[in-house]
Amino acid sequence: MDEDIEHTGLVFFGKVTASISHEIKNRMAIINEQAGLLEDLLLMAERGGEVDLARLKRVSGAVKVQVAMGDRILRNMNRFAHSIDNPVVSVDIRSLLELTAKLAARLASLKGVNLEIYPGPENVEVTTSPFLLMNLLWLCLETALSVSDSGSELVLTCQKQEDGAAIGIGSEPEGKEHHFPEASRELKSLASALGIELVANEQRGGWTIRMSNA
Amino acid sequence: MAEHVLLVDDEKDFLDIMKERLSARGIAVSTETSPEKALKRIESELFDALILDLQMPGIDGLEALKRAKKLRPELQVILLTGHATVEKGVEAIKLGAMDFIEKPADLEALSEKIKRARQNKMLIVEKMNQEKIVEMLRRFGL
Repeated sequence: MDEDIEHTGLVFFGKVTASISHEIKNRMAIINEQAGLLEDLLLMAERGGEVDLARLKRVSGAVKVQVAMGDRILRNMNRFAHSIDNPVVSVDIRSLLELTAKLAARLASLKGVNLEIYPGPENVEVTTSPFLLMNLLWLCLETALSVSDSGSELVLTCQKQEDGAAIGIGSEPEGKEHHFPEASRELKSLASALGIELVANEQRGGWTIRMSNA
Repeated sequence: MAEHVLLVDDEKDFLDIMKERLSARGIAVSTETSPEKALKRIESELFDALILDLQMPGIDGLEALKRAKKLRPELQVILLTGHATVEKGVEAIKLGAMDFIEKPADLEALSEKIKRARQNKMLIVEKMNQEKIVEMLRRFGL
């Protein structure tokens, strides 16, 4: 693999794992406080206070919610980590797009931008490198988010094409004047390595990513 | 009178449980989910301490710290973060933060810091008042 692409991939891997570790830390901080609250309630009971069963149930339910959230984060992380297992495989593009959007959700949230996915009605399979394609999508999202205003929306679409798929990344509302920067060198290198056509969408201020099985 | 803190974090679940636990320790807690809303509140209300998450949507914790100190120089700011780095910690202290704590925080330690924040604030307010009196006396040639 090209050294530049390897480096771009490592940077991507680092950013995603850093973001995931922040999310997990947030869940753990809440679970830690919930455990602390149980200790507070136990201490009160030891001192002769009445045990509030409804409150205990509420804390127990809240812990379960946080564990479920943590589990979802870890499942996404696991899928992401395994995306590097096979250099080239048949990839479910809709599913990969959804996973990338989930991984980028925190980045979007920090910018105050809403990520909206319209995965399309049809299942789309393309033979490609899942890790590199996710890296390319991440770079597109990162660039789009860097110029998006807080409160705005980024729309991700996926459409089946004659011999492949087209992913769209653009701003809402359509037609509004957007100033997306030109694709970076890293983005162009990745597109070239994947044999992907990266077309700037002047109207929507984003890109259309065209890939084929050919 | 109880210490009064403003706790700011974009995780509502975190705010709710921290409020419950700190309130049980006799601390009056107000909460906000965004730094922008917190800064508006600081303009009109008095708090002993501001507890800020470092990474939030919109303006980040360090920028919020700068703006809060500009609005209320006497306000004591404690930053809470998922991942504390030495660089961020140094930057926060240089910008006037009283402390920089990594999550999950030890609640007893945090409660102690809030109590110390109130004492620090009172000393600063007292000093500011003394300076005002000295300035007034100087103006009147006394």
